[in-house]
Amino acid sequence: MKHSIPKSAQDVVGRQAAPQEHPSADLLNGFVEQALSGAEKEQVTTHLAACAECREVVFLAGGDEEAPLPAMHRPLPVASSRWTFWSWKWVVPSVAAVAIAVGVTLMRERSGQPQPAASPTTSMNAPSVAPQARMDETLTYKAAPEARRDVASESKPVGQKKQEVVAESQSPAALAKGKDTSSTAAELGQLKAYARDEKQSVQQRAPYSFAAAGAAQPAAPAVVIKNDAPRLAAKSLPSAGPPPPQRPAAAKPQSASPRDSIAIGGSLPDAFYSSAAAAPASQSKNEAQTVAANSASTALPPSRTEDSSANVLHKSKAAESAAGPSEVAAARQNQQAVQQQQMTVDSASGAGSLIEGTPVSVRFSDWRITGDGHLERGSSSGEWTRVLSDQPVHFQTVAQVGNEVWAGADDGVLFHSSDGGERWTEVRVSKDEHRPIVSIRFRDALEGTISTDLNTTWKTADGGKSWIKE
Amino acid sequence: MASAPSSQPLPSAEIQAFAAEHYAESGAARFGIEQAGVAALLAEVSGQRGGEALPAQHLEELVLTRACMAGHNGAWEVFLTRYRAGMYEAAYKIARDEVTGRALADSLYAELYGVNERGETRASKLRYYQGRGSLAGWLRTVIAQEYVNQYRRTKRETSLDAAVEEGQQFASETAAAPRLDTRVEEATAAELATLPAEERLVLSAYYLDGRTLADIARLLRVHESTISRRLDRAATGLRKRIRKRLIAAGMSARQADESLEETDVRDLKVKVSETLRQDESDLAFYKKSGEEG
Repeated sequence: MKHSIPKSAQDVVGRQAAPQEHPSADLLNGFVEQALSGAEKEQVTTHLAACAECREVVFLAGGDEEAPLPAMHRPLPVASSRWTFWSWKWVVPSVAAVAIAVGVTLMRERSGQPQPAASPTTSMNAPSVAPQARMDETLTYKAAPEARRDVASESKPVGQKKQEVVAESQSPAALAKGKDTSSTAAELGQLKAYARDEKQSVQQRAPYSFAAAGAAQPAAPAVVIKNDAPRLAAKSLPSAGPPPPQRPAAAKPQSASPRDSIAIGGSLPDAFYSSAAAAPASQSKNEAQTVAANSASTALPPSRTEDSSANVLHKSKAAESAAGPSEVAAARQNQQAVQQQQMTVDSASGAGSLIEGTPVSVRFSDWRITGDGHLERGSSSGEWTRVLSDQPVHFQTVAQVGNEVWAGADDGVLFHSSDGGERWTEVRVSKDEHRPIVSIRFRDALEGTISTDLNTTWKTADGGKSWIKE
Repeated sequence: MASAPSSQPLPSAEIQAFAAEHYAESGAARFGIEQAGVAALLAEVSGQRGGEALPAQHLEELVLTRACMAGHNGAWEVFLTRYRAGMYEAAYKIARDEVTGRALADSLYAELYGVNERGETRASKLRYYQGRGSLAGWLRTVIAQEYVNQYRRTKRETSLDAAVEEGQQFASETAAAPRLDTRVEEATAAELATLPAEERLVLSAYYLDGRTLADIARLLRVHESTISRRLDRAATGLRKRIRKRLIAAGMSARQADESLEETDVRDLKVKVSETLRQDESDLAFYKKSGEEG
């Protein structure tokens, strides 16, 4: 027998007098389902240690089948069948397009070929911005106070505005009535720019999740940079490497043009609307074409990209006069594609409620604990990869702040990764702590607390190097 | 610990607020139970549970049981739809025998319905459900309890033929197991008392019941290796501490080691059976039931 205690201990354990009064079925069931509070749990556990009959009952009641896990340990649904379908339909072609673009760019760079000039559509509106300047814009785009104020000055909510734009653009009657084509084009530009922004925000997150999943593709955003407008490149730069822990609070220069705001404030539709509202109609026309070209060449599958680009280039000749229904339809199609991608990404991040902390500007990997206590990391394609599978522990909880990932297991074992889950180290808060770690809360990379199932709390202020019992 | 609800304490303001907040989701309205009724139910359950947290998670099931107790047909329809199949399935799994399982489930169903032979007020067993866990789990536990009780009852009723066949009339009195040195016993009892209840439970389940590591791990929702580590730790720690106590009590180191020396493990099993007043067999209860089933 591997485990052996002194015979005297076995005797004493065996001679424990069985208590006369047994816990109710409700208490025993609460014990089986781990739904008892501290005092009740202690009471029932003490009884079970001495009562063979009740031990028999709890093993019979809960032993044969997997009892439902408490809510916090329950594995979250990966994605509904609907989103899974869309994830395959949109994410895979998008990833394939990005991968192809990466390959082509790398080959060009290695062969020393000069970079092709930007397309006429993009070069028309793309200012030559130095890489450092692009990065500065990227880092400060969220701090633009003017954009927020403009949003506040817009009385209509974003959704309503979008609907109106779509409705007006779609209405043949409105077109037939000789609606002001410049204003229609401006609104269409808004719609497309919004679609572009949404698509870029999705793209901006997706590559990072791939990188975190181990298949780092730092060149992917670079391709976007070279093939498209520098403004888009500026937006895509953060996803090339680990995102900054915090966006600097430096304000964007007030002299920045509204178009710059459109291009830079990619993930903020409100920023777009604020600037688009202030943009002259003539600029909006050009903006519409640029936006369409950018979005088509960055997010859509190859075949779709060609069609859309051709469509947009063709329309660039005629767009001066009016925005046709087909263009509106194309814009709507783009928007739908963006929405589908957005849904896919959101649905794939099913473990959001498990992750505690205060994310700043980081795309989280998706983490979950399975029903049988394994730690898994999700990718944006909806696949889950088991992590630390060689560890003989039963994971209880996982949390991520920035690139710092913490996973708590039973027996007081804590695992820590400083690189988003690539390399892990085992951490012991104390040699005497052997209770399952059921809660992890980190304010930042250094300061955080963990709790065991008996509500014992340990605190660290140095990233887990030392722990203090609270 | 198991007691039927008796008094009807007045709902406190906190309970009334809780009832107001959760009334809609409790589904009480469809069974004709008003908010005041839910508050009274919560007060009753809270009183029985010693002021523990109110059962928000299983309030809907709690309300359903009370509606069934009150004889609401709609509630019984819901109950049967949701739980009847699971109840019978659990009974089959526990008894490992279709006939016994069906008898168990039928018996429980009658008790849940509250058949009263004296024609007085119907007393349903559902009144013991207090919402700590799920209703399905409670039903499984009640079936398991009934199965264990039934097993005990039937094992005492040995037929004369079986007794003759087993040679019980020729059985000699069981020789009393030699008692341990009182110092060893005291030191061991003192050290065991210092262990957390869960550690003692693990020890009992593993050494007395012969449960596997996987069984215990599943019950406590931890990994199997965790149970293994705990057992190792308990064994090592107990041995060291008991030895230390024995030496402190006047034994020499050699005497202490000898007294802690392992002996035939079958001695333990005989004593376990005696102590727990179980059967003559040296096997744990669940194994016997499994073999017979």
